[in-house]
Amino acid sequence: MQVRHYLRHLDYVLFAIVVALVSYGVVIIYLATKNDPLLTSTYYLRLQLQYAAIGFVALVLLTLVDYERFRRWQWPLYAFTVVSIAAVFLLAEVTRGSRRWIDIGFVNFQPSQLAIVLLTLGLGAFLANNLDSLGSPRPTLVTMAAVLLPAIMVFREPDLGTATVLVMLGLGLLFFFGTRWTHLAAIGLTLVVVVAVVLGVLPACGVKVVEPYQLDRLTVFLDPSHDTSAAGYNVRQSLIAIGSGGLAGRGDLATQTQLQFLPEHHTDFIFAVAGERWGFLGTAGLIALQALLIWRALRIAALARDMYGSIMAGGIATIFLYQILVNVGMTLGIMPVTGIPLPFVSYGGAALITSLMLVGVLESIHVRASDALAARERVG
Amino acid sequence: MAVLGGVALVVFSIILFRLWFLQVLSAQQYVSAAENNRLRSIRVPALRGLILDRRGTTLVGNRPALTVGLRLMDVPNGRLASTVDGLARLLHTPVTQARESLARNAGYGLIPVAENLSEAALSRVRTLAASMRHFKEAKAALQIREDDVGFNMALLPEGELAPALQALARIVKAKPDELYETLVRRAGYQYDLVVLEEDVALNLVSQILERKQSFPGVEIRKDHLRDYPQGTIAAHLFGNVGEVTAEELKTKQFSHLEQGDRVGHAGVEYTYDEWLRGQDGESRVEVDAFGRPKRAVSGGSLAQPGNNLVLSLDLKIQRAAERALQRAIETAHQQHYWRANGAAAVVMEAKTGALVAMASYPAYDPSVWQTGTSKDFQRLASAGANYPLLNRAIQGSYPAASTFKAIDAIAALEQGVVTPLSTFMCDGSFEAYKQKWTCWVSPAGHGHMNITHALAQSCDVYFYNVGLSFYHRKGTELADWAHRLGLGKATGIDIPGEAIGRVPTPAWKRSYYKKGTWDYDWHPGDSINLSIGQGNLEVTPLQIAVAYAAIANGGKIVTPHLGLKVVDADGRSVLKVAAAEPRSVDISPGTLDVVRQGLRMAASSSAGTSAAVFSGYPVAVAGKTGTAEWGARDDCAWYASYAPADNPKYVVVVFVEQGGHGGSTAAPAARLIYDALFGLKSGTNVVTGRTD
Repeated sequence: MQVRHYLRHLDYVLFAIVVALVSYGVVIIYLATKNDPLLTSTYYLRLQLQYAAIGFVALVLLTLVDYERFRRWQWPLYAFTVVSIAAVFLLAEVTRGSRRWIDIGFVNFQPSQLAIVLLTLGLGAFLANNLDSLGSPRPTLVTMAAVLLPAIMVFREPDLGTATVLVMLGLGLLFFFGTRWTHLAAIGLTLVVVVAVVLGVLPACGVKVVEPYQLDRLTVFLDPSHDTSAAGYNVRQSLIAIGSGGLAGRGDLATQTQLQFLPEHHTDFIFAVAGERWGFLGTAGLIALQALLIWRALRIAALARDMYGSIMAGGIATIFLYQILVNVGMTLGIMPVTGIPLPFVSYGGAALITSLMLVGVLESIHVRASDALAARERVG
Repeated sequence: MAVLGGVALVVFSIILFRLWFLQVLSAQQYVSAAENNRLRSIRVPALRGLILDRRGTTLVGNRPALTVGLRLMDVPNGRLASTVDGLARLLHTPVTQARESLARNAGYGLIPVAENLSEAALSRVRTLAASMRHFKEAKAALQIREDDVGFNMALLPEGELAPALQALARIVKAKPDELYETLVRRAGYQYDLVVLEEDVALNLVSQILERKQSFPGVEIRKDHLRDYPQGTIAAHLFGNVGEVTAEELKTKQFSHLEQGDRVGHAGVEYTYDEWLRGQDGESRVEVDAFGRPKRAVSGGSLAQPGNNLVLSLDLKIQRAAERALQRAIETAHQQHYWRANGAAAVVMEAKTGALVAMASYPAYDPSVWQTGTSKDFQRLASAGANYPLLNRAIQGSYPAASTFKAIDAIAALEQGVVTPLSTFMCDGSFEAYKQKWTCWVSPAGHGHMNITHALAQSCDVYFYNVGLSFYHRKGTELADWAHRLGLGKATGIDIPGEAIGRVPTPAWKRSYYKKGTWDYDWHPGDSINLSIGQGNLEVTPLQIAVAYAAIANGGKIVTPHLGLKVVDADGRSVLKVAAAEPRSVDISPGTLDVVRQGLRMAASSSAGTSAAVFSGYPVAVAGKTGTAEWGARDDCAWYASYAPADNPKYVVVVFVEQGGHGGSTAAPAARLIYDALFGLKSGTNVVTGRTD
């Protein structure tokens, strides 16, 4: 495929949205961390720019590859996912109470994040290859089983947030595959029961599945103002930060951020930093960008040349929407505290690179969709 | 697709709605919450006012002092004990003592240090707690709540922390240092500065600062402490300054204060606290999430320093009085009264009650209140040191002995028991109701005595007769006169803690002794003993000064006071301390004349008991000696006097515990004080031999 041709069929709107989101993130990370003690003011900014550069390279590479090539690799991709996550338990050191990263020399590699991309490609391929079983429970069961294995492993790292993203990915893929709604309803019901058992019944019987801090975080959003745990404090400070931003923001008077009242201000609570500094105008602008992102992803799912592309684009749209909902909802006190970063905006290499790779997959689908469209037009 | 699009629409709508609600509708509330987060008011303590003598010399001032403390949150976990130890070595404080004082300063209440103990461990802890030393009638500091073990530092006697932690560590199988760290961190607020040591020398502080890297979390704070430029002079009168206690907060005087305020706890610091304290200021600072101050913010208020208190005390006279007491003790020792080790002197303006000097021996260094260790206080409260903290001038209750005879004389003349012309024959002893009393000159006698001579020569037999007459008259005339002249009740001096003393009456005996015992009833001997100021009579030196002032000033019972006025920093008068209007006692001029004459003769006529000390003295002194029998102890020496005799200006009372005779020990000390009062340089003349 010629470069000219390739360039003509890129989704520039999507690309512009993503560049805008990443830039928004880089600027707000800088503003959030420039006064952090012990580090130079541009410490996080530089790192995030490096990650963004790596991410955009990965994005472009994935765009150049025809996603159809991954169709044959569904099981190797899946096997690599599971093995790499398993390797975490053997190789990774515990940082801040959990094992997530493997040091591979030049960069810390986080298999659970890469798993999002690999499962998208692998399970998307599996479903696209089983279109004739549509309606039978087998693809549904296989997909959920295939998602749950790595999800449970990630949960044990422990990284509850990413584990739920993997499950949501499975649900999103199934949804765009066209699974019967009864199957989805059954999965939903099962999940509700599992959550109820894990959070309610088992602790009552004395079996500890989730750590107390995780339970705290999950339930604190129900009533943040009367909670004294660390999670409750975080949410309260986040609400104060966002609320005090007002319509136009507090600018350099953003004391919640600068005086460290807002915890995790460059990662999980980055949205609150934007809210305090830039106010409603800033946050609404960000939400608009994110809405555009979802719209663009859904549009690609509709335009895709084949079901493989469609399923993957839909799955990607689902998990972006899920992460935005959970992260922003957490900072607004309407969702549990789960430690899911805000896509493209939160500081963090693995998540940023993963998100940009997913955009690469979307662009790849878009380029081929436009190809097919053009070809059809030529035939027609 | 449409479905997920719809879901997305709903999600984004909810988020936008919520953002609108938070950022547009409720912004104001969150802005103030953010301001509350970042702004802290820090109290700027007001500088306490000075205490000056009547000439403006500073008796109590302030000095800057450096406090070394730890900000617990900045001390890395696991390093608290070693940090404290290192600092203690630099400060030359024993390590165990430094650890304990930090733990005490961190906070009180029951602090759990070990949780979820087994029943076996708990029972060992119980044994340990039972074996621990604890305060009388208090629980042991080591306590068990359910299956947790905790310390209450307030209940822990000095020096007990280290052994207790060691023993507990063996039971719960932890390191003592870990338990210590848990205790301190849980007791203290993580962002507060917990004081390790106050008033640290500058060179030690700079040593700490040079090695700040090795002591993470250490901080130096500048405070002000009370300073006593005159050393031990007048130490008993000032009282100490410290944090207001929980009990004090319940009293009327301090009810408007807050915990952490510093107030005067005794002496004039207590009485005039309101004026001395000043008004604390407030500085507003921006703090970060950990409570660390980042920068000052405008607003707040300046601290208003306290006003200065001018005392009626004259430093020169005070110093002379204290020196005189010291000399009196030495004199007593020279006369083989080896046990003499306590004394008091009062110098008061006869007409106003303003105290020019008030001294108590032994003295102590008042700076002990700032920097004293518990060992210092143990010594100050010990019998061996003869309780230096006691202000004997107002807190010592002693038999008045012969100084009471002047009061006796007033009562006898006023009640018509005797006339100035009545005489009694003294042959050295006195018999009544099959009992025999002797005069102090026995086996010799005074011969025929009228009241003036009886006072001058302190004839016991004369007053035994008076006492017997009062007994026959029934009633409580003598006691009533003693009360009228201020004995047996508070003088109302403007420092707290004075003793009331006691004037015995039949009613008092009935309330004090058990019915059916000999002591329950009033006997002739009670009246006879009272007539020479012995028996159950107890007075303070200040009460005697008030009674003699009344003789000197014509029957006015003054309220003794130390406070003269309150002035601001520029010397402008803020408040004139109004001493209570003196209470007048109706004594006929004739009676006063006779008694004054007797007292003057005592100090001047050849047979007068203090004539050896005062005859030929340039100022006419009138005064009564006293030699008190004080239980099984050696006799105590009194001298109660005023001068000049014709127009009395000052009352001087000297008392020496187990000092022997009034004439040979107390009167010479009074003379030294008069020297200072009247600018004389007469020196002392040694008086030996028996006087009264």
